[in-house]
Amino acid sequence: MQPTEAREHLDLVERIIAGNERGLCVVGDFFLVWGIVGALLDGLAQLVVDARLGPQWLWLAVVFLAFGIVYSIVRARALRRRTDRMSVLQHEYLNIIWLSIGITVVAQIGGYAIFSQWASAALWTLSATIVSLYVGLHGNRAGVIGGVILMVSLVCANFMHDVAGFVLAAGMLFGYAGFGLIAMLSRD
Amino acid sequence: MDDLLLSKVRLAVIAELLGAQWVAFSAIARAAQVTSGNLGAHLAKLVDAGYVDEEKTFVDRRPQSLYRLNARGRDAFVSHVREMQALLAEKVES
Repeated sequence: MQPTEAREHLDLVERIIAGNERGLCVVGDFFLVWGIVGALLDGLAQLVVDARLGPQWLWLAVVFLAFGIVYSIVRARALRRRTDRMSVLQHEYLNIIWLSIGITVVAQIGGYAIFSQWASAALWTLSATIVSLYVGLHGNRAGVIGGVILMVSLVCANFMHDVAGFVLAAGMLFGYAGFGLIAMLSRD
Repeated sequence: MDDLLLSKVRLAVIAELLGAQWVAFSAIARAAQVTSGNLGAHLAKLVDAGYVDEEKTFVDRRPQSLYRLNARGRDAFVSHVREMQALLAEKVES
C-alpha cells in the first residue's frame, strides 16, 4: 500500500466515525409514562394514607405498574424494529433504563415494608444493586452474583424485621465488598 | 497489513460497525455508499473471515440482516489502522 492510499483510507475511517457520533435518542415517552405512573402511585398512596380511599384501592398500584411495564416492553420492541442502527451508547442507555426499572419493580414488590423503617440502608443497597448488575451486564459474573446477593438481601430484610439491619449489612458485605475484593484480586 | 481490509469498502463497513451494537444492512450500505449487491459480497467476506457476526431476523414480516463487529474484527481493524499510521509516519520521516 502506498502512503497516499493509506492517507485516503484513514480519512475515510475518520469521516465515517465522525458521522456516527450522533446524540442519544432519549425516548422521551419512557419518561412521560413512568413519570405519570410514578405520580399515580404516589397520589394513590397519599389518598390511602389520608383514608380518603380504602386500602382495597391499593390494587390499582399493580395496574399502574403493569401498564408501565407493558408499555415499556412494547415500545422497546417497536424501537428495535424501527431502528436500523443501534449505537453502543444507545444500547448502554437502554440497558440502564431496563436495569433501573427492573430493580425498582423488584424492590417495590419484594421490599414493600423495608423502606419505611430502613430507608437509608435500603436505598444504599438498591443503588449498589444497580451498579453491580450493570457491571454484570458486561459479562462480569462476580457482578451478577453480587447484584443478586444484594437484591436477595433487600427482599429478605423486608421479611426479617428484627434483624433487617444485619441482613442488609450482610448483603453489602458479601454482594458489594465481596464483589470489589474479587475485582481487585483479578486485577480488573 | 490485513489483506481483507485493504479494500476501501470493507474498511468502511468495519468503521461503520465500530461504534455500534448492531447495524442493519441498509444502514451500512448508506454509510459505505455502495450498492446492495456490492455490499453483500464484501460483508460475506468479512463474515467468513470471522470479523463480523450476522443475525437474520424479520421486521414486519420482511427479512432484515443485522451485523456487528466482534472482538476478532475489532483487533484486526485496530492493527490495520496502526500499520497505516506507521506507514504514513515513515513517509514523513523519510
